[in-house]
Amino acid sequence: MRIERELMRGAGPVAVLKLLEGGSKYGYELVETLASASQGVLDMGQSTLYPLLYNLEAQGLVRAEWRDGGSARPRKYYELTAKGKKRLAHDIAQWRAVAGAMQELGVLKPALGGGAS
Amino acid sequence: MADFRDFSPTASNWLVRAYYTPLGDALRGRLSARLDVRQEIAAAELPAPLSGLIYTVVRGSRLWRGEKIDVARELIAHFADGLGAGRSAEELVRDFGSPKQAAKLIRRAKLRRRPLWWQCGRILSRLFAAAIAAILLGYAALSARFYLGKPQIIHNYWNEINAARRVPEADRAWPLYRTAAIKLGKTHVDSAWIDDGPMGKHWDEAVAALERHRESLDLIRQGAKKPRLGYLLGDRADLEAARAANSDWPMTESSPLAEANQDLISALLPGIQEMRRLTRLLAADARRAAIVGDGAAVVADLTTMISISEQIFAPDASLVEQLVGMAIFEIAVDATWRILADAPQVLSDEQLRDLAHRIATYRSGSLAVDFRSEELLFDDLLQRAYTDDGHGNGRITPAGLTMLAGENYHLTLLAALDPGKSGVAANNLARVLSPGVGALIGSRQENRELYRSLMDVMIAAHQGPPWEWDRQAIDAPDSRLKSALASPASRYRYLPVALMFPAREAAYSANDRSIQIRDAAEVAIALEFWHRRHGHWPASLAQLVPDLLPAVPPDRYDGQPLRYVVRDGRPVVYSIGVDRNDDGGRPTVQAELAYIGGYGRLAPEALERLQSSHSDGDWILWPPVKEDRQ
Repeated sequence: MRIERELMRGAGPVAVLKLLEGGSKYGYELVETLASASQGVLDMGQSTLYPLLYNLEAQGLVRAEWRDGGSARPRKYYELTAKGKKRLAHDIAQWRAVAGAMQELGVLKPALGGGAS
Repeated sequence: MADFRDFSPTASNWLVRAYYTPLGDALRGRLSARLDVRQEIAAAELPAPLSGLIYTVVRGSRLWRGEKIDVARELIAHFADGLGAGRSAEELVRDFGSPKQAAKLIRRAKLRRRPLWWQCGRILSRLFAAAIAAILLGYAALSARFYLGKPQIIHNYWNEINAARRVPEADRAWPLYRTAAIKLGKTHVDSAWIDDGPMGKHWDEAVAALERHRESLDLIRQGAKKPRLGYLLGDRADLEAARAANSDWPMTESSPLAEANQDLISALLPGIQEMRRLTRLLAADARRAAIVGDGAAVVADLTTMISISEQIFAPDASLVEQLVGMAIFEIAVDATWRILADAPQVLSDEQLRDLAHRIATYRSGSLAVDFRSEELLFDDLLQRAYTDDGHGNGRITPAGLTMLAGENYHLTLLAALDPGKSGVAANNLARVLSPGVGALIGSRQENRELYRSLMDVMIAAHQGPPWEWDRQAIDAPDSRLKSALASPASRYRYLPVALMFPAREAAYSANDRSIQIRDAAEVAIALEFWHRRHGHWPASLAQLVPDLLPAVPPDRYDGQPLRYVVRDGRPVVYSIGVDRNDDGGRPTVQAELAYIGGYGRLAPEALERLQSSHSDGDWILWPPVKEDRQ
């Protein structure tokens, strides 16, 4: 299931930031990880991903660096900045609040392990 | 299939390499071409669809070369990773999405990362573009407002002026003068006939013409006995009279009629202009009568001329008409002087007394310039040039701008508005610029207020006797107008006033000249009486008072009694003239230079200038100076 564009516009950046929380990643890696970790729900076209990354970079939330990466072809890696980490924490809190409200409304069901996380 | 551009590597030559080389590399002498996206893509050796996709996105982003190469390298790495993961080129292309959308989003994101100076420049350029757009929009609105403006011609000043002049037909002199002039035909009445009299080489010609046109002379004399002139502007009766006589005077088929209500300024007053010729004919007849000893005819001719002059000062007489009236009075006085100088014995004491009385009562002794007609001319211009909001205000219209341009060809821009004076390109330019020029021209109300205020200042400056007029006050309207027109913008603001403010200095000077020659004519007649009684000339003009004159008239240049000397047994009556300096009755090099230049108190340096110019000398009033014919 692919989600609506407007919803993706809100979810995409926080999803990318969350993926980068675990360490630096390059473009293709991010695309693959997003698709596999979200069972295809957050599978965004690369035509959307790269502009999203450039926007995060312009906002100072991520920084980019060209690295050899062990292969012959260099790759551009993205990693969270301090500002990006703060934003991620803030966004997660907001998403949790939204998810909580959705649960209260019966839009979402509580996860088996407890509340939305 | 995606809308890719065909991709092919850049042709490699040193010019292309130089173009894609960063400045730093170039300064080090290396044509690295590191910013060449196509070379970069080609070097990656990706399948053609992927190369095309990358090139399409990068090129569509319209970024700087450095930014493009960065995006290209990242996309190359991305697709290389995809191929490495076992995906086909087609799958990768499909998963990428729209290259056009990607290019747009990438551009938007990358622009946000550009340096502060660029961001500021972008904001400024957008503000500039917005300002230009606002100006263009505003100018478009201004143009629409300008071109929608239409003057409302409510008044027919021709009819309004004619209404004040209309009198019962039996009281009108003009039809008689018109017939006299038509009968006179093209006969040229030479002023030498009057100036030189029987001594002139054309006198026989004059006598023959006077004999031939006796009927015209009678008609003129009959006309002068009528109480009013009754000359009407654009009168259809004048056109019909011309048609009946198969003449092109006083009107032709193309002459404006009052009912057509054309610009008032187009009223050419052919009838009034003709009155000079009729008066000269009378003056020549007076000279002829003097020679044959017919004093009664002399007085009749001279008083007829004075009556014609008075008739011309009709209600709402234009400045031109008033100037013609003054000129006719001068012709009458000049003829009187010449007869008194050459053949005084032709007039009996009684005839001389009658003539003196007629001259003294000229225009009931009240000689003044009336500028009301000038104000009507200005109001007429305003109604034709401006819109009318019903409260005395309005804005300039295209027709008005063209009218003003027609009066003012030296203004290059406005000159272009006249189709006869410019080409198509200039006309189109003028059409575009006209609303802007129109916006610079002041409103109807402010132009009228300035005009009225300048007229008030001008009239106030000419109160009292002319020797007391303050030059600074006389020049005040000009100074105010000049300062009002000083800046390039305000130059256009009061254009209607600048064009229409009357040449009042010439009018006031002519009027005061009339007064001076009237006074001098009275003195000349009084001198003749004295001479008849005493057999010699008085030692001073004071001796004429009170028996022959109530007082010695003032010299209008300084307020002192008119000057007088007896030279070679002949009296000379004179004014000190425009140089304000008594030269003992010595005339100026040319007679008219003695009185051209205006009245009023002058600053010492202005006086000094005049006294060392051709105006040095006196204004000889009597006997008439004959230098012009010698």
